[in-house]
Amino acid sequence: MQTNDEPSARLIGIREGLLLTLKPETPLVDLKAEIERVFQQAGNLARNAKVVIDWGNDQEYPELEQEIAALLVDSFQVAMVLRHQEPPKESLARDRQPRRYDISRSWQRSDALILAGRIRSGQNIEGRHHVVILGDVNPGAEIRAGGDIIVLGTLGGVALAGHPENEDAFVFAMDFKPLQIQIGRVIAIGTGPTMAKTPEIAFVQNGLITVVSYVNENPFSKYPYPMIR
Amino acid sequence: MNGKVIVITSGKGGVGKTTATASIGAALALEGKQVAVVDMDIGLRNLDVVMGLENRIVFNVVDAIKGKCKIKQAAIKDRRIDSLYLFPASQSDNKDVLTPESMVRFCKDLRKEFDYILLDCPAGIERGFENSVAPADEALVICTPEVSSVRDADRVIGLLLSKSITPRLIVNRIIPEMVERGDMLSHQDVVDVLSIELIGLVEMDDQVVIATNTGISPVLQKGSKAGEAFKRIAQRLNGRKDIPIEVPQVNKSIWKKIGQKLGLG
Repeated sequence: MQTNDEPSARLIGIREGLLLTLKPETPLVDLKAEIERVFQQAGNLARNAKVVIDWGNDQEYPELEQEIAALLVDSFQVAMVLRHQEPPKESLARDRQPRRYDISRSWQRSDALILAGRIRSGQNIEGRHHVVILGDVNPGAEIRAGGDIIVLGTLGGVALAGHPENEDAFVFAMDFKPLQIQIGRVIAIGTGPTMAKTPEIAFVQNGLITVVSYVNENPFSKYPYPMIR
Repeated sequence: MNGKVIVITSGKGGVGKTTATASIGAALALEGKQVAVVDMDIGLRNLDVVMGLENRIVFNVVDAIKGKCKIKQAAIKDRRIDSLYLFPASQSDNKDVLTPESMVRFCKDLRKEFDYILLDCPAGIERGFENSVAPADEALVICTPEVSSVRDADRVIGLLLSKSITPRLIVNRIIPEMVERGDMLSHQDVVDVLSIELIGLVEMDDQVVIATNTGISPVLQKGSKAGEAFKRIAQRLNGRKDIPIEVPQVNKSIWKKIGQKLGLG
């Protein structure tokens, strides 16, 4: 077999110390003999060196490792024996941080009051954080939220987002026809009745409330990574 | 007999609650039911005038509730329809003389005598509204195709739903020509906003003005579009679910119709 032709232990110098490549299928006695041979060749280089064991695969052999570590420390006075791991690359490490955040579902909570149904004239809905209405908000109704207001239907009433003074909040409606919008302390009045049903979003820009078509602009699509609101 | 109490309300004034109450009451009575119509607008009574019974009032609903007279003494029989009775409002009191509890007790007595008890609710959402809604099993909300009326009807619907009454909608005073021109809300626009079950559409009809002044119900006048619409509403209230809701259409002359067919119109 080809594997038998290759030595069962090889020692090469790496930046951190010495990399000892071993074949885990070799019997322990043979392996030890081979290790002694390569370390005798290395001579004083091994003294106080950091030895990293590489098994050539992903598996772990803790008992073998213990035996070999004991042998290396006793016979060749190495400083420490470690198991080989893929060195983390700098850029990858930075990327992985938020991903782990995503995968482990450790998003901090984003509170929202979610109501389904029609909000009629004279009804006032008040949410400490975001308010989501699955239905229509009729003219004469008022939605007041500490955060954002999302109406999956027609917004015909008054919407006060970011109450009292959070101007980062937005107001979104599938059919955007509010009587009045207030975001933080900025106020805008509705433009009157329109026939078109367009999903629009209102936010504060340069101290003024700006309303844009959600379909054309989609401001959140510009975020490279999800953000908690 | 265990009669049904139906409140007719709108929130806004002047949308045709009183006319609708009188007309639906007359139409139900013509169907052979024992019907009582009660004017709940204490202090501003109108229903007696609309029904042409103002000169027959001796006792009123407040007298009946306060025990100053027997319930039968306060009931005024209609001039033309035998099974229709009016309980007129008091003109000298105000709405605070009645309480929701006293109305529930009063209607409990009326239920024994009548198949239908129609309550003509005053405009507004204050005491008069509370008194009218407390005993009601069902509610009819009258709305005209105007933004202000829709707004108030919406508020009233919210209040009724919060009291576990599911109202049905009558869109009154539709002018089909204006709807066609786009100058008036269509009934569909109104239903879209209010999103409750529609029970009838009533066209604007000059006959109603004549009927109000003469005290003869539009349902008794032949050819009255509003009268026909109220008759259909009464039949639907009476359980005839098969009667379709007719949408008021623009009357076109025969020449216009021919012209349109030929592609000239």
